[in-house]
Amino acid sequence: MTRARVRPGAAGQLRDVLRRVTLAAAGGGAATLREKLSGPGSGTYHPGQPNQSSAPGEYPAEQSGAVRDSVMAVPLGDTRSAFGSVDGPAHVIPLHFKPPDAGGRPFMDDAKHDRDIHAGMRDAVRQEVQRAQRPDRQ
Amino acid sequence: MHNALTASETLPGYAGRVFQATPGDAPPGPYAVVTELTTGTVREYQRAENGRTPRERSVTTLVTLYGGLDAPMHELRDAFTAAQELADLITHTLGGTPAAGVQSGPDLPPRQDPVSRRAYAAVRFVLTYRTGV
Repeated sequence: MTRARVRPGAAGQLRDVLRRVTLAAAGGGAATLREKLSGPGSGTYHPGQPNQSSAPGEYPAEQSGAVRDSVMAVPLGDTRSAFGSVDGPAHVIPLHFKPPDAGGRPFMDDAKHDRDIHAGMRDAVRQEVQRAQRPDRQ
Repeated sequence: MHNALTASETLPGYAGRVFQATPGDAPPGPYAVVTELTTGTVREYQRAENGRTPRERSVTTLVTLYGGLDAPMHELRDAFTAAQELADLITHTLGGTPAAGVQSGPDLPPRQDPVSRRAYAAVRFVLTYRTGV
């Protein structure tokens, strides 16, 4: 019979690594999404708004910046993290539940299949792994 | 597009009032809009000998229910409950083989919309299917 010996504290270290890596991935996704939620869209310009609105199918345009600023990463326990709009402005609700032709801009649905956001998550994980492997981290 | 549109016709009070786009001249009574929000690849397999690359893709569909003009919000409750159960009726998608059934996504219980003067509610469905098989 083969027995594996687990170094004392190894499980805790693994959890710590997973927590940091998943949070880095979520942070990378959040940062890329915040970029997508910045600036004008290509839709109608409504007088009184600072930016041109978005068109159906686009990410919502930046107006006050409240939607963009509400996007952040949060840890969900030891080995999972998530990102999204946290305590965002009230209009995040209709953005996600009205049809796009009635003003809906479901940016979290769009983010799920957005390759730029996937790339942002991968880059952030790479950077976190490189950082963890540096000798001065030991 | 899968059969969410036809399935939504079974909602109580919504027969003949289900649209693929928000109607320009909305009926005074309740109506629903079924929208395909996103579709994308969730998994890609190795290319097969026949040269095709099997993929698992998912499509997210939003069903938004509107109540009648100036009607009280509670009138939407039964339709919202029935809409949550539509996942059992959504069974196929055009051009793909069902892979992982239909999952319910985030939904919105009835609330008032001051813009349209109607109550509204919404449910989401995520259907996973295979292509290139």
